[in-house]
Amino acid sequence: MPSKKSKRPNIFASLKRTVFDKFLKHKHQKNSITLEHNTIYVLPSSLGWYFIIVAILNFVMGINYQNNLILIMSYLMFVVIVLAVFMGYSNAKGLTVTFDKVLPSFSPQQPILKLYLHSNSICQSLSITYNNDFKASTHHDEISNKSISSSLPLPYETRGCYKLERIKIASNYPFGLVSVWSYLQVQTKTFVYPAHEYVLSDAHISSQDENTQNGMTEKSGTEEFDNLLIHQPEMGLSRISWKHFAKTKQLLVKDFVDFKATDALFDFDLMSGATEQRLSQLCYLVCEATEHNTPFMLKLPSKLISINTGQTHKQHCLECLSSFAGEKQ
Amino acid sequence: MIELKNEKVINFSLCFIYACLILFFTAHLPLPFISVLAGLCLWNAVITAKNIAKPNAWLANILAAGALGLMIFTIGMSDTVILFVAMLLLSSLFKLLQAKNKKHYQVITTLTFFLLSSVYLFSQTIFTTAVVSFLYVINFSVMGLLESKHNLKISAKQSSKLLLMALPLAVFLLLFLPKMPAFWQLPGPKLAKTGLSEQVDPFDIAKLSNSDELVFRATFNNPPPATPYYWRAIIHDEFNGNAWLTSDFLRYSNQQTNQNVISEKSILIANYSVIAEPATQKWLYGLTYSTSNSKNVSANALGLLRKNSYQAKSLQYDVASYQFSVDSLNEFERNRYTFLSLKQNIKTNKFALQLKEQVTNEQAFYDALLAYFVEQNFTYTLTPTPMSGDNTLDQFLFDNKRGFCGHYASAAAYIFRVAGIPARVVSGYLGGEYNSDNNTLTVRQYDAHAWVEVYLQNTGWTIFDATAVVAPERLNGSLSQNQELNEEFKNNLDFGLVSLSKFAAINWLRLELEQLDYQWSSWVLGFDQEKQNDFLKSIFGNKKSWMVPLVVLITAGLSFAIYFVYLNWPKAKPVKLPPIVKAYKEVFDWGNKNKITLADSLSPSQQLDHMAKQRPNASKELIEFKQLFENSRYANKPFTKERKTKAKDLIKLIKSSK
Repeated sequence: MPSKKSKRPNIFASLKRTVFDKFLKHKHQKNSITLEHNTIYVLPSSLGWYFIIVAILNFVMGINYQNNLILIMSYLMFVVIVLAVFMGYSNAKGLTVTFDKVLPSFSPQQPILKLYLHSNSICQSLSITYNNDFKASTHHDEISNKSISSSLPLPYETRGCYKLERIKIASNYPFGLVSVWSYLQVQTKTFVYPAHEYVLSDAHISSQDENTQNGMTEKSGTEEFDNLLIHQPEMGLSRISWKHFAKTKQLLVKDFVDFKATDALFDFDLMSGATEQRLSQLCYLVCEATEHNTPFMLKLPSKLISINTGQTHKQHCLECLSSFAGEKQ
Repeated sequence: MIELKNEKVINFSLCFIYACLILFFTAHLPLPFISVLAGLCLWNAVITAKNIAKPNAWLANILAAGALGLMIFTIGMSDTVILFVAMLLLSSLFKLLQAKNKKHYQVITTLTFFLLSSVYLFSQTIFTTAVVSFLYVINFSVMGLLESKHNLKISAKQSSKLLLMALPLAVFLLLFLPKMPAFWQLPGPKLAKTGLSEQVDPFDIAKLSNSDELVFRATFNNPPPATPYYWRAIIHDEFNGNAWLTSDFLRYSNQQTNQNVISEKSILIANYSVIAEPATQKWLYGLTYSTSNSKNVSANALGLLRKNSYQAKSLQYDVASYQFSVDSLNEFERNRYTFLSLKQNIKTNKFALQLKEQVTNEQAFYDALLAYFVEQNFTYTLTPTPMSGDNTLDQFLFDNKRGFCGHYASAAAYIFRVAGIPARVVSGYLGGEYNSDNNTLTVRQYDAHAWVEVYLQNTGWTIFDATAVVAPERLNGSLSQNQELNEEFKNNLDFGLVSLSKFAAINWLRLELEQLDYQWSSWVLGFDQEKQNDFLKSIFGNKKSWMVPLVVLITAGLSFAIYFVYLNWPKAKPVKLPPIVKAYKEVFDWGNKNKITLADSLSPSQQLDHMAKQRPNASKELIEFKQLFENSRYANKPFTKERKTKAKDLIKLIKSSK
């Protein structure tokens, strides 16, 4: 069914698209749009066109049979469609759509677009469609002057970096006779990160320190309990294990260490499998390392990301992985 | 795609619309086909009610093919209009049976708009218009339901509001947009109706006058001429042994070639306009020798009026009726109107020749024949005995002596022709119900009549109506007003308001409805190009040609602009008060009215206390109300149904206190 549908309007769709691209490029390139007279487009919907055709048929029938009752039905239909255009326009007017953010996702999940909607007057039956893809759309029955949040799954499932396409804000109110629409072209990108693929982290860490334990350096510290040492006079009393003293009458001192993460290097070349697989493995490692607060370096055939840690670093690395184009770059 | 939220309601509403449509078309479609349609409608209603899945495409397609076959078999291909309507009905119902998504339902609703207007092809009465308008609103509501999740009530309200707003402009357009002539000739729907027929063959009829359907109305411009009114429609000039027919000669060669037929000598009898109800036959109605200047109507050499095109809609035309000219017939005409191919009614032949020998001239023969019908105790009946054989006229004249107009006309015309006097049978309508309020005569199917026109020397064509002497009451007024035949007539009539006319109230109602119906056909249905021209001329005078488009454009533009401003006007939203506050307001207003309130600065509780002091009779209730108010407003107790009714009761008690 969908394949059948998508084939037919292809020429029209592409034509429409080029026309709109040409004329509307700048008007809608904002992060927020308030629908007004110069940003609202109104035309009869497909049902509206059928309605007009039936009105014309009624008119012809009324004229040919010189039948006033049929004629008045036809005139009524014409007037109604004009009123519907006004109603549709007034319904959409004053609606403000504000871009909030895009939540990136890991393949095969879809990134989610977040918008804020709010309207001065009540706006009914509003649908928001991303890039004319009716699978990526949401519908709101009523929008009032209370701002509401709308989320829209974007139709991207494979790894990559995607420039956001046009968002269509449309309504078929009233009676589905007219379609009133506008666009929002947000100038931003979104990423679909590679899928996670579990990989043993040890194998790919190029250690730089001798005293390691699973690739991590020990440094005397305060965080993690390591072992007990014989008490020396200069050690003070604060760390004496009184439990042991009660049992053995021996003064033992608790020794703590900080597992200072080892600087790790994740190298594309050290991964196994095809490119996508390698990226997936790297993606997993990056996430794991960030979770364990391990500083790491990411090495891709064309790029080296210097050592760092933290969420921004992780995001930067993931974005690099997502937009990785090939080995030969 | 948005999922449909109201599929059940939508289905039921559409089923209702189609059930009404089917009921309407019952009279015009064959019974088997109607039952198929009703079955489909019912099927859809049942599966909707029981939440059964809709039938799959294969089953539906096979059934559709079967139904299509049945349709063509039962309806046939001859009447294209009804075939078209039947096809539309069938396909819409099958579509409804298979409809699953919004798009399907949208197609059905648009088709329904077309079907609803096609109803008007068959009937344009006020009742039909009311029903169709109602269905129109429902169909709009369904369209609204497809788009939103409101319920049917809200949707119906919205759509009626929109339609009511659109209606004045649509009416305006109808009045002012210049009417176009028909683009092309379309076949008219064939209406099944009783009434006149092209041949007068009374002898196999046992029952007559059973329809009170309206045929036409005539409005006289001046006081009406003297009764009786013989409305001529068809002339039968050929006798085939049993029946009187219209010969092909008369049918095709009676064009009004000579424009001088209406000479200055012609005497005008009456000027009037006629609104004829939709009928598929071409004949129209006029008194004596009729001419008409109206478009779509032509008059022929016999003084009969005909439609120019088959149009199944009511037709209004103006008539000028003149007396027949006294010019003598030529040889050919004389032969035609005295010709009898079969003379098997031996007794009648003998009788006619005997009668001719007794008299000296044609006028005397005419009088003698009339006298004969009176003397021989002929009676008028609506339930004659059927007769058969070659000598039906003999049987009627000498054995039965009972009959209706057809019998008398057939027999008389035969006798005249045997005697060598030119004669022809005319059928049409006699009389009509006269309403002096609007100077209008209403003629119904039961007024159908047949009589004879004989050509008397020096007098010209003269009406010979034996019914006139057999049942003289029949001549004046309608059959419905005829006392003597009333009982028999009413027994014969299908149930209707006329059959109940002996009750004064019902008779009054009948006449009022009649009046309304007259206005309807005259002003709404009969508003044609000519009337529009007159109407526009009366408003704009000679500036018509450029004023009309200007006014149309300005008015349409202005009303759209006003609507647009109205839509975008910042509206003050109604503040929704909690019910208890509303109740307090009611009490406060009561207090204000009785002047027992203080300035507005008091809190509601203080105000109620004050009122209680001022009005000791109601103090108990007022204090109770105060507690209720405080509980609900300040103690956060929910305002339940019990409390609501309590508040209502209290208000009632407070208000009734003295």
